[in-house]
Amino acid sequence: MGSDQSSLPAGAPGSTIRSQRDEEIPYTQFSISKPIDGDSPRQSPRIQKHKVQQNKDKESTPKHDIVVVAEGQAPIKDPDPELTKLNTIPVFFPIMRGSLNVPTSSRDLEMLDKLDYRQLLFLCLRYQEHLKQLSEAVAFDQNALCIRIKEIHHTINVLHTALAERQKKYNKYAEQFNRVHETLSVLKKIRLRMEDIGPKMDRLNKLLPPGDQLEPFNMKLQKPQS
Amino acid sequence: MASASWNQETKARLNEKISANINDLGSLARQVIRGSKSNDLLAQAAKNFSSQEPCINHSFDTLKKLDHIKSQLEFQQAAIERSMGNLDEIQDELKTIQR
Repeated sequence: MGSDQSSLPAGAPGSTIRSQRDEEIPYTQFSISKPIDGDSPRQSPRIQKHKVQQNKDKESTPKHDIVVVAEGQAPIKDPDPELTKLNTIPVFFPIMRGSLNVPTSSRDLEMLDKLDYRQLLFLCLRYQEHLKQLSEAVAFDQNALCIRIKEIHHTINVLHTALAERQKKYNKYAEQFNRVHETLSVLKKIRLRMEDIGPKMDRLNKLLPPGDQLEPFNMKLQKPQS
Repeated sequence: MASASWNQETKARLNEKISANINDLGSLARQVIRGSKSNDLLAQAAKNFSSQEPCINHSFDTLKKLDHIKSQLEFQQAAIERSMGNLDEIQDELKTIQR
C-alpha cells in the first residue's frame, strides 16, 4: 500500500514531489501523522526532519524528476466475478411486468401487478391431468398387448400339439407303405424266378416216365402241390 | 459505483431468495408428477410386459418346433405319394402271377 509515493501530497516527507515552496520540509501536523513506506515510523518531529534531509540528499541527483499529473490507462481489475457474470445475462422481462420499478409510460393499463394464483393452479392441475391420461393410455395399450401375447401363446401351443399328433399318424402310414414296397419287391423276385423255373420244370416233367409225371404247374396256389 | 453497494450481505440475500425460488419450483414439479400417478402406472405396465418375456420365448421355441414338424410332414407326404404309385405296380404284378 505504501508503494505509491506520488499519491502523497507534495509536502509530506516520503513523497518525491517537490513543490517550490518546500525548501525545507517543516514538521507540520501532516508530515508527522502520515505514515510513510515503513522506513520511518511515527516518531518525534526532529528525527523525521533528519530523515527528510537524508531523503533530500539522496534525490539531489541531476536526473529530471517526472511529475505524474494523471495516471495513464491502468488495467481495470475485475472487482467481483459474480457481478460480471450477472451482467452477462441478457435483459428480459419478468412474468409480471409490474414488478419492475414502475415506468410511468402508458403500459400501466395492460400490465398486471399481481398474479392470479388460481389460474396458475389450474394450469398445474391440467398438466397433472394430462400426464395421468397419457400414462393411462400407455398402460392400457401395454395390457392389451400382454393379453394378445397370452392368446397367441395358447394358439401356438394348440397348433403344435395338433401337428405333432398328425405327424405321428403319418409316420405310421409311411411305415406301412414302406412295408408294402418291400412286399412288392419280394413279389417281383418271385415272379421272375417262377418265370425262369417254369419251362425247366415242364421239360423235366416230360423227361420223366409217363407214370411219374406231375400235373402241369400253374400259379393258382389253391392247394399245396404234392 | 454499484460495487460499493454490492457487498456480501446483498449477495447472500440474493442467493437465499434464488435458492428458495428454485426449491419451490422443484417441489411444484414433484407434486405435479406425483399427483398424476404416471410413474406408478408406467412401472406397473413395464413389469407386466416384462413378465410376458418367458412366454414369448416359449412361443418362439414352439414355432421352431412347428417348423421342424412341417418339414418332416412334407417328407412323409412325398414318401406316401411314391408308395401310392407303387401300389398300382403291385396290382399289375399280382395279376400277372395269378394268370
